Amino acid sequence: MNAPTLSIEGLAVAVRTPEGGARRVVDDVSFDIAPGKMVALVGESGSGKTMIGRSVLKLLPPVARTEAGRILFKGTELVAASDAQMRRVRGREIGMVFQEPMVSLNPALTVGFQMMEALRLHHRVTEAEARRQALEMLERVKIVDPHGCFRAYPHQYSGGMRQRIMLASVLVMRPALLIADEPTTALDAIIQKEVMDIMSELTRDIGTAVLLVSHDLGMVASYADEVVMLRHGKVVEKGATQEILLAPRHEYTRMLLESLPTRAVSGGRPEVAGDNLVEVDKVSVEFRKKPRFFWQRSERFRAVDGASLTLRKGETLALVGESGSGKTTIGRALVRLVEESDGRIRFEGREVTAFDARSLAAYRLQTQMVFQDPFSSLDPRMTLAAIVAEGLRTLPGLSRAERDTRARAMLAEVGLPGDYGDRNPHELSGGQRQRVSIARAIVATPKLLVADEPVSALDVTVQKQILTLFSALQAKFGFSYLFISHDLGVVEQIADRVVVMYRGHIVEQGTRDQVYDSPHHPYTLRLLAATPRIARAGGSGYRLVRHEAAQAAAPQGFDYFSGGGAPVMHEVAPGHIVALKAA
Amino acid sequence: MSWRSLWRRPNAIVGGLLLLVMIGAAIVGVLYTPYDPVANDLATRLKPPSPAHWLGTDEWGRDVLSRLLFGAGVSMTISSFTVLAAVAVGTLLGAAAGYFGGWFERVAMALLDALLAFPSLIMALGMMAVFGPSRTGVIAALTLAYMPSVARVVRGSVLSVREKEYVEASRVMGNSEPFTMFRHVLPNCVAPIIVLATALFGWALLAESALSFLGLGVPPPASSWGGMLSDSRNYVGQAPWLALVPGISISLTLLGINLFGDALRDQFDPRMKNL
Repeated sequence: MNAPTLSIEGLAVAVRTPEGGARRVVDDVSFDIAPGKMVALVGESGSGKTMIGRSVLKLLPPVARTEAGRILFKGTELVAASDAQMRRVRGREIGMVFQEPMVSLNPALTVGFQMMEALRLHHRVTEAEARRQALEMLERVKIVDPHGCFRAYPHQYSGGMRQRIMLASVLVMRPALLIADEPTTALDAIIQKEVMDIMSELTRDIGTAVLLVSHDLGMVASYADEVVMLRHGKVVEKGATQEILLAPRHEYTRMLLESLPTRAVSGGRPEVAGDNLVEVDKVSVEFRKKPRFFWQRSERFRAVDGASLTLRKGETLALVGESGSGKTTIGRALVRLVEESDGRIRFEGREVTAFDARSLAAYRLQTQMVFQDPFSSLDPRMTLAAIVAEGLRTLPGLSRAERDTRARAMLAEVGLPGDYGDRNPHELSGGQRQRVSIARAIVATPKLLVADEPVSALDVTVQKQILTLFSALQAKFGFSYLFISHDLGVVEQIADRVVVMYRGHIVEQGTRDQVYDSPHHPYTLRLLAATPRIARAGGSGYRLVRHEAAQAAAPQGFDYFSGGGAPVMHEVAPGHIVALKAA
Repeated sequence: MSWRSLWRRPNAIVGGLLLLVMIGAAIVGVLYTPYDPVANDLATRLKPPSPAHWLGTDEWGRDVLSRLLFGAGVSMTISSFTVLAAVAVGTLLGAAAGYFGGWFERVAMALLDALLAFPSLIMALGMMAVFGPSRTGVIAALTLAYMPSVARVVRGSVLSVREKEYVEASRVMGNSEPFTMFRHVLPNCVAPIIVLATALFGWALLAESALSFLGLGVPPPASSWGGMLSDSRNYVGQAPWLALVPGISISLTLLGINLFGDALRDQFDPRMKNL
């Protein structure tokens, strides 16, 4: 075997605490990466995985310090290296791709300039040569028009494209090591797969070793050669991906894998469905784009285009789709945060659009929403009891003391008993905050709960707890549940029925088993194929499941609908509807 | 968030003490001064500090300590009223513009921008020229000069807070728009308002002295700190205490206000509770 590109021995990183002490966030971590191999650092938030990636480049935050251990990069010790030595290594020999593609490229410079900058600095090539290499690399990351991209600015590209450009500008240096910190976490499933495919192919070609930092076990299992499992800064186990993730020995790894959403837990209960609670009838929502000059007419943009769906009493309906598909907009129209421009929404048979202020207030008591970001959905100045009690404010005939009592009881119900009511949101973890958000939403016992990506910001173990809590509360209070998510794993676990959206249109809907087991629309298939999952495989083992259902042919005379005009809704099985258009 | 825990902050204690001394001086100045602050006594002009005149006398032989105490009241009233009025009007305008948006925002912001485009002192000068020198005139002019910057700052932070999910959550719960604004949006904009208000207090003190210097502020012979400072300029060489006494008083007041403002800002932010 070749000498490893990167060899970390007994690394320890400590963070200064506000009390003046020091806390070890990385403790005695050792692993090697061979040239051309991909090693994944896996763990929940707070496991120290990002700190390890950063300590290799000596880009630790000011409060953190490397306390012990050695980092050998191609035989050179980096822990004791001077700043001047590090500058020669960074960029040229070790490249880094960050999580947030929107902020990691400089918006004021063209893509080409940013790519050539490092080439000319480190490799001292001529401008023409730098241009040639940059263009070649843009081509290899499958940018459609490399010459155009070279002259363009980062804001002209979507997140996925930017991440490819980022990858190109790092790999054009042909670094010996690439550190990728959650490189696809902010991207949609299909784009996630594209970026990862390009990354693993290119690095293998160039012979770059990759240190992948990720929390996504399915993705790690599909791409990484080796896995280092971390918990509280310590290595739990490490070894070949096959062994660690598919035949785990350590209790913690098993616990993580058990927390992954699975199908059988709940959901998929077509029998729970009662009468229709909500009917969304050919609803469109239009937004105006701000014109460039005030005398121009504002352009209109249809976020939702003629969508129809029903939500029955007591069921869980999932809306899935990529960002920009309009799934959030439908949820926001239901809770009246946006107004539909066309079509009708009926709640218990009554038309929501026609409500006057009084019936709207009554309606709002019956529909509540749980938001995605647990860090911005709670007012930082209020105590938890006050936050939850506000959900009861518009309920007539309750005294302040009664509201407080009921709020505290509901906090206990979601697992935050006792003096939690007197705390402020900043004292809580993400999962606990999401519990408060749920308590606030259901304290007035609504009939409909709209949840917009409620668990996508949480670790898998916490995610599992929240999903279990949702199911328990639904069983107890009997609300219907519109669950908006891009995470097909989570949806598979809890949804009774699934609606797939694509660019403002509903392209497929049916029961969970219909959509997951016999998907019809090509978009649904791509979505499922892009989501690798780890599933139990008899005994104590696991296997990597890639969805590869065969494409069912569209009925005679029709194609599957993919935008443009109005779709024809076709029922392929009872309750299973697919969008078509005449061929 | 209790007021008692405010006094555990060193900033609050030092700042509060300084302010207390200045306010005390202002109150004493109204009730009692060792000499008549406006009585000339040419026999004792430009005397250095002595047991008879603790802080010396000025070019008209007036007792500096008496003028300082009397001026404390004048300067502090003008500055506080200016800050209060500018913050109140500016916050309301800025919050309404930021929160409701639309044509109201466009009109209000265009007017405020026009006001901002004027150098504030020139505008205050113009107003004083129209109204004639008086305390209320100074307050009104300075309020109009400083209110637009408050409105701008408030609008900016309202715009960012407005997008938070807890504001949407409040709407989904059926709360009215004004309730949402006063309960969730404005309280989360307090920090920049306090910081700006403490800075404004200093600017107002200095602007009042500039106006007095130009003869458009507090009409003589009544004293104000700014007026004392500007009167001293011809005698700095012979009688440095004339400049030092009001100068140090202004500096200490500003220091107190700033320290206290910092402590208040931290106190209002629950995230800083244990710091």
